[in-house]
Amino acid sequence: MTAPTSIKVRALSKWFGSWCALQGVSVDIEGGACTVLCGPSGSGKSTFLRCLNGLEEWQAGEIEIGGIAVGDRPRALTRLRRDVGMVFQSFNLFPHLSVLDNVTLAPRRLLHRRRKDAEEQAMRLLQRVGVARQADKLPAGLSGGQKQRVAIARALAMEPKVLLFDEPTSALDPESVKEVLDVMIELAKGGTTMVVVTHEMGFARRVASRVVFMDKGRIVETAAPDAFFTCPCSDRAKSFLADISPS
Amino acid sequence: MTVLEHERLGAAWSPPITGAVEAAPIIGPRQRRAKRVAFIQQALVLLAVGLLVALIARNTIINLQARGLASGFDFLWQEAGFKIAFALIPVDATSTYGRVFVAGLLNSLLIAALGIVAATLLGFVLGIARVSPSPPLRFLTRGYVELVRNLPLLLHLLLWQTVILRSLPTVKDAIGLGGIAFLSNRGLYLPTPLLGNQANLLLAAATAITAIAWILHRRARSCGKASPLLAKGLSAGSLLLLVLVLIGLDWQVPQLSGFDYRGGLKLMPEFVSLIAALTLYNAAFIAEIVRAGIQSVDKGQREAAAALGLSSRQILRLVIVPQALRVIVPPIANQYTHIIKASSLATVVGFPDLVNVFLGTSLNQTGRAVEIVAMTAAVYLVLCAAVALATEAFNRRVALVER
Repeated sequence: MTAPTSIKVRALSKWFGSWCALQGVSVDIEGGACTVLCGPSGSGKSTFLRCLNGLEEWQAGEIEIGGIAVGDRPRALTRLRRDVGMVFQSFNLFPHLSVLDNVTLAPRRLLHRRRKDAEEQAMRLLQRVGVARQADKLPAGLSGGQKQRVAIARALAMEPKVLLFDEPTSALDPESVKEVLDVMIELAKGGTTMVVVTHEMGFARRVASRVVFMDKGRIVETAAPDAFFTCPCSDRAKSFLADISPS
Repeated sequence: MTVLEHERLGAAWSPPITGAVEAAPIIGPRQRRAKRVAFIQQALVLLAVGLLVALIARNTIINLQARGLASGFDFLWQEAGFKIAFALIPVDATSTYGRVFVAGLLNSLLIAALGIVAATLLGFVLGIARVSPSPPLRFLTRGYVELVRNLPLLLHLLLWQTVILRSLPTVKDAIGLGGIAFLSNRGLYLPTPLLGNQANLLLAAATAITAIAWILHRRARSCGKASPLLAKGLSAGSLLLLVLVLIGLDWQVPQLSGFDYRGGLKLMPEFVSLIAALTLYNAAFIAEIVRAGIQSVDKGQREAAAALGLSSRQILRLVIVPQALRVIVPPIANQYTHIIKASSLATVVGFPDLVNVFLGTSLNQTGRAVEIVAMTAAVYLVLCAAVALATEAFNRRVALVER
């Protein structure tokens, strides 16, 4: 097994017009571990995550994934994205394709797999996330939790070295949240590099190897989950945790 | 009914709810009354329309009889006595009106079909360019669309007619294209093959082999592979065969004799300008339809596909366009019916389409106005209805696939 892929971000700045979404963010994300990004809404955590696979353009700074710079050259970026899977808040399954075809599309087109091989792999993945019985359905016939698990299987089908999760449970009802988190916990044990933007502090506490707390486009605090949740250093993190804790 | 009511009441007291609750009556007295009212209204409307139609029919018959005009479809078997400048079936001065009708119909169909295919192809290219990431391309296509779709179709037609007629030399100074095809203001002259049995057989074989090679190639591509060697070899071989057959055929080359070229195929300038106008004009509308369709697809779809590592061409072909089609097809079908009807503008430039030869010349000569107008109208009605039916079938399919 090759060494886990780490991510290095240096002085990343991003503006939306005159609004500065990221103000010189620098961070090293450990390979093979799960890093949770949290912070109040508008803190730039989703923007930061979307920069990592080049879905969002940025104005200044560098990002390296596994030693390869995330650039603006379309070819190189397309190549890099194969190794960086992403799961979205709104699932973004392809509604015109069956669940199975959603999962096999990329491997067949990009890794030149035969249909049979791709479908076998897809069925294994769907089994793993617990939606194998829905393989022939269209995404519209699935519940939210099922959709998100299919989306995870779709990302896994490319055998990515890094997985990005952009608030994967925010659009789900409480029961479905658990289904999806269980799958993610399972994945985190497998040793893929995971970067997760989430408001699920329970998940962060259980699974994360590190918590990165962001506010107003800056990283305010980086800490191990135990330390972060018991005694955060910054006042901003303290008030954030106080606000979200169900006291 | 009373039993049901009773059970429903019972259910309110006793907790275990039986299936009878679900079977509550859907049509109650209120619905029955509404239905009765609707039925009376609809019957009245139908009656009024029926009376109007009867009145018109009665008037027509009385007027025709008063003027002593003949009626009936017997004229279709009479000799028409005029020639048609361009026809897909042999028509001469001794042909019947029936044959003239068929020739005109085929010409109209040819124009509509060519116009639909060409406008669709050009429209898709323009529509995709309208949403391209390149600003100059977007600007240029935008300019094209705005300029072209805001001018009347008739202006396009006359413009192209003038451009083609004015810019091309007379027959005497025709531009030779390799000595086998000629271009003049009378039209484009192309050589035609004289097909014998052997040639037909070879041609069919070459086409079949090419088709097999194409299928193999598609199958390989669909699982992302380069096309297999066999497919490459086959397509190369069949292409060679095709070229050999084409060269080996007996060609009838147009020859200048007198004031015009004889032999081969002659495409009239009217035909070319008509196709050009229909294509360029409708492509602008189709481009806008395609653009709207592409933009109607959720942004997240593009992002999800990009995040998987698909290239922008793959994203467009595999993710965006299949979803955009649901939005594109209904208005594009509308545009097709427009092309079918607009093909009758051929009359303006003097191309012998159905309206020109049948509703025009034939009507003038026979005076069978009611019959000829009805037949011509029926043709366009049937064609447009066919497009509508096909669209409906397509919509049902994609609708089913979607939800």
